[in-house]
Amino acid sequence: MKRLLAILLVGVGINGFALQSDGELIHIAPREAVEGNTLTLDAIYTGDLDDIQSAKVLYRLAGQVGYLEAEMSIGDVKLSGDLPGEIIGAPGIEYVIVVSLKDGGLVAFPISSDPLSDPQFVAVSEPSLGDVAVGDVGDNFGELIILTPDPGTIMSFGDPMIVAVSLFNLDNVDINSVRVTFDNADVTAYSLITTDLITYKPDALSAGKHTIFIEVSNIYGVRLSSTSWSFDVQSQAQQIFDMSWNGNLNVSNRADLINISSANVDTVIAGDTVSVANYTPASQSVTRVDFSTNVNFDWAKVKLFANITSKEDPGLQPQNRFGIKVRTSWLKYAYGDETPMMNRLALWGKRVRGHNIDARFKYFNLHVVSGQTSRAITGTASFDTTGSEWKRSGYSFERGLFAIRPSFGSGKNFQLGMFYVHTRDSINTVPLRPDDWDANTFSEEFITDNGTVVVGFGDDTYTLNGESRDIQYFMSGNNPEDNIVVGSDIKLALDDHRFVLEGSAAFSLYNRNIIDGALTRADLDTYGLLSDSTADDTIGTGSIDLPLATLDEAVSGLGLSFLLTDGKFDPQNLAEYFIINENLTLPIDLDNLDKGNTFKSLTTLALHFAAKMNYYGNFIHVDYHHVGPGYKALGSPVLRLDGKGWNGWKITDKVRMLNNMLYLNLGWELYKNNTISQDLEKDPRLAQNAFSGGITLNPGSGLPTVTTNMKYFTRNNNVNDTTHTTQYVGDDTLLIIIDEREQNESLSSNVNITYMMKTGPLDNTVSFNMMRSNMDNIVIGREGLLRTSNLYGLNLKSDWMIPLTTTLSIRNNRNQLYETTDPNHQTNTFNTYRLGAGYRLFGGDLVLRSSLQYMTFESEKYVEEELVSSLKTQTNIQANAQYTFMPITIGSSTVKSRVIGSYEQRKYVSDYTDYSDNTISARLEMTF
Amino acid sequence: MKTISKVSLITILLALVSMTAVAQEPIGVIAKSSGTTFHKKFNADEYSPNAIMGTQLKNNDWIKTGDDGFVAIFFLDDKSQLKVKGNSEMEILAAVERGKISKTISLDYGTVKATVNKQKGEFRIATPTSVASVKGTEWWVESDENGDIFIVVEGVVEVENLVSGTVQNVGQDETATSNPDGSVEVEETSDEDIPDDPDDDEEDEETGSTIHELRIRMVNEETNSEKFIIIEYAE
Repeated sequence: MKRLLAILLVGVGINGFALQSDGELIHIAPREAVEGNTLTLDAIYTGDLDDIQSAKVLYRLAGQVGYLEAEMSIGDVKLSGDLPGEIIGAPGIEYVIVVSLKDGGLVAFPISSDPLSDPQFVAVSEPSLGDVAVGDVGDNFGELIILTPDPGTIMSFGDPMIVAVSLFNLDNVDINSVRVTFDNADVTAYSLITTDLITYKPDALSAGKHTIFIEVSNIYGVRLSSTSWSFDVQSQAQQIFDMSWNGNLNVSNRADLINISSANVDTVIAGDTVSVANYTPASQSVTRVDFSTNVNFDWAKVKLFANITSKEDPGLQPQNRFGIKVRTSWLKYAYGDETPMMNRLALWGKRVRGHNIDARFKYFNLHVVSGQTSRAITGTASFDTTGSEWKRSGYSFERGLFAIRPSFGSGKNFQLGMFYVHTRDSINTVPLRPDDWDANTFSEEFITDNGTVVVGFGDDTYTLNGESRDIQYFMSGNNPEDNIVVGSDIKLALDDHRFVLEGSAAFSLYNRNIIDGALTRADLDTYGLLSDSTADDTIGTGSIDLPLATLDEAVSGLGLSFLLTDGKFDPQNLAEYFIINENLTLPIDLDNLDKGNTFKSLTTLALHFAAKMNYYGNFIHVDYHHVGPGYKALGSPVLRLDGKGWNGWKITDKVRMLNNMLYLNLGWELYKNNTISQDLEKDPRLAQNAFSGGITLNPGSGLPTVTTNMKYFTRNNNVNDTTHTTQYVGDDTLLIIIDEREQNESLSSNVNITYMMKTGPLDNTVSFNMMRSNMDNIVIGREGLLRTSNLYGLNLKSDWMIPLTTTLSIRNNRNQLYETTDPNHQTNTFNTYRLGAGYRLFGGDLVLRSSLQYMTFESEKYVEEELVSSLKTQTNIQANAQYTFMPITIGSSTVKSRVIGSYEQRKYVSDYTDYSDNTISARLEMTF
Repeated sequence: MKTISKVSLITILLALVSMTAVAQEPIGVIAKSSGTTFHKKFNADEYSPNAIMGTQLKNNDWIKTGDDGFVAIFFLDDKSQLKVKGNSEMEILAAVERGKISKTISLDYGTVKATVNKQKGEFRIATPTSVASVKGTEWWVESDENGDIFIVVEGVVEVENLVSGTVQNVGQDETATSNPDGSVEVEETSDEDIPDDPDDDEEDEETGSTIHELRIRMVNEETNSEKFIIIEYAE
């Protein structure tokens, strides 16, 4: 730390002893110094260097009163000292070199009777831009620290910025001495200045170079530092093209030589004929290339990605994934494969290949998705001689999806949204008789009394036993569907997000087969809609008997004239939006509506409400779902459906206690189906209750960690009585009892104990795991075990002094179905023993791993009323090597890469057969 | 005796006054702020909305960020930088001595990135599960009730699990997972693990594109046949 000298004392001292030495100082003063840059001074003492006690430079900015001092090093020949850059400022500096001798004498330069009054002067010039390097982050200029902006940095136009300079390491700062200029304008008055920090927030900055100058002096009037630096603000035009990029590329290949089982073969072994499994070796190879790159502009971020696999097959749904994403401050646009998330009840987790546009403004947002969720696949065909039919199967229609969700509110604390999702199969994409299919594509050959007959796909007739028959063509696979979901959602966050409420409600329209298109106006009256097949100009019967004229008026009144033909509603006009025909899932349950149960009657209604609370160390989550039996959302495969509808509650609480030593998880879940039931006796509801609790105890260093969880689960279909049916066989009358009662309970628990201990040079982690699960039938008269499972595992992981890690695992798992006396009784016992090791070489660049695993599988079950057991074993040997290459710099990018190769052999041995599967894989990973 | 007591009393009072004065020294400054952010001063009970750029930070100040929040902080003594991502809450504990600030970031939860220049004092990040200390490096910390993840971009970080007392050095391109059960696991950092730096990329990509494959081998004991269930998932 520099020290301010008392002027008078030093001055007097030098005056008094300057001429008391034999030697003198030879020094050539530098011609010029550069502001902010360290100045090195050298001098030669003509006397004996061993006589020198110490040497120092006393320096100051020209015109200042006091001096600062810097020690000089004493070399073999010369004395050398540095003046810190912070003090080097215009117009120049003044200094005196002072050498103290062991005999008490002093020698000074300049040679003068009073050198302190007549110091050496060196002019200081302003630094050029090159003198302030961009890379000098934390450019310290001695003790003054530029926090932001960094010298030479390039900022985006419009970005908020602040000038911040730390004076923390400067002593005795006189804040009144601080001077701040920004682009040569004195902004000291607009700056916040303390003894530790200077901040200045400029107004909107124009594009171009900006310069900051700061000058600080101490309370003694000595200028401690004066520095200036520049930074640039890009113009908007520059920003458009300015970009950076990065990405990654992974290439992998996996080759499997596996044995695929085919039909068993009867083989005579030791005089007995036994059925022995037959295996056929088959090789499979999969190559993948995963690539992604990010190109970042100041105004947008662009991402390109592709995941290409050799498994891509036009006969299957797409395996490859690719796309481009563009993101700005208010817009997210993606084209390609996406899984848009709009609302769990409508569109969530379904892959869509197409456009995904999400525009977010402050108070209004719009999310639009348009694309394809599955592509057309022609499938295959088979000929059925019974009906002389070519039956198409395995096909898939192209399925298109359009979704839109306008919403209001940013979503931080409030948002109200409405959504519409339309999913429809395009029936023209899978023609009944594809043009490119002919007898060469598919043909069936079968033997008749008159010889072999070949029927080709595309033929209209064929001859069987001398008789010509017409061939029919049918689609016997999945039907094309049409689905609309409309709804709204709301989110409300209160109390600083500690209390969050979310709710969604949606209705669906679902047509399970649109192959024949929409009904006509006449069909509406007679096609059986709402149980009405009578031509009476109404839809429905009984209390629900809607005159078509009323419907016409309603449609007209709503201004939907495009749905009318000659003033009459025609479903054909609606077909562009939704196809109405006899396969429509009715959105209303007439029985319930009749009885005034309006809510129950809304069979295609789905609701979801959630409340999240975070108070006093508790994170409580309450969740309610209601999904009607007819509700369908083809865009949301994650939504749980039940053909009878369901509703349920889920409440969970996570608690952290005792300074994180104890974690407690509690939960309760209720699930009930059959939401439209009107009579719980005649039409009961299945009810599932689950209570769960878990504790994790971390008592602290040196003690084991214990985790335990328990779950109690009951399932009751509320059928309390058996029924019976009578069947007549000849003269006998059989009474068949039908017992549909289902009532069971299960209790599962697990305990995990982990303990860390040191044995000699080894750091060991030992963990013991136990899982038990038991399910019992508690139906009166049928009590007994349904299923039980016990698992015990022991793991030992050891870190050795050398970079070696070993693992040892032993596991036993025994499952049992039904009581021993039950003919369906079965036990399966798995034992697994595994030893693994990993070793790092060359500082971790090369990692070698291998493992050996031996597993036995013993099964016991009744075969022809005799308990028979079988034993199989499996041995796995696995080796893996990973090498990380030195990074390579190409231009401004650094390329990191590594290769991973692995080999695995799995050997299976059973009573009569044994075979081995082999897998080799290699993977190259690169980032740039 | 009485005189001694008075001297002691005055000394204690002076010490207290000087400690108070030291405690109120600024130790950092908010250099950048965006999205939903909060700042609680050392002497305040409640958070103030918006951590304002240029605000001086002192010992015992708190920073909190919402879903879209981001705050960048510089420390005054060495220009060490701390970037606080969304959904984070932390207290800054700083022992100020002349010429150095020993810093401890008490991270309740969330994700922070520290770029630490050569320290005169100490730089630590403490979570409910772990403490990590360092001199001169760049690293990420993600903390929640399930433990902590330390991703070291450059340099070496010493991670101590408070439950077990286990201490592990985590080097460049390594990731340590410090678990509530007391274990600390170190493995090579995967590029996918490194969080996006909001300062480099202010809005994170929320949907990744890497497709992973999970194979489950199913063996039918009745027919001695086997099948694979292949689950592809995007991350």
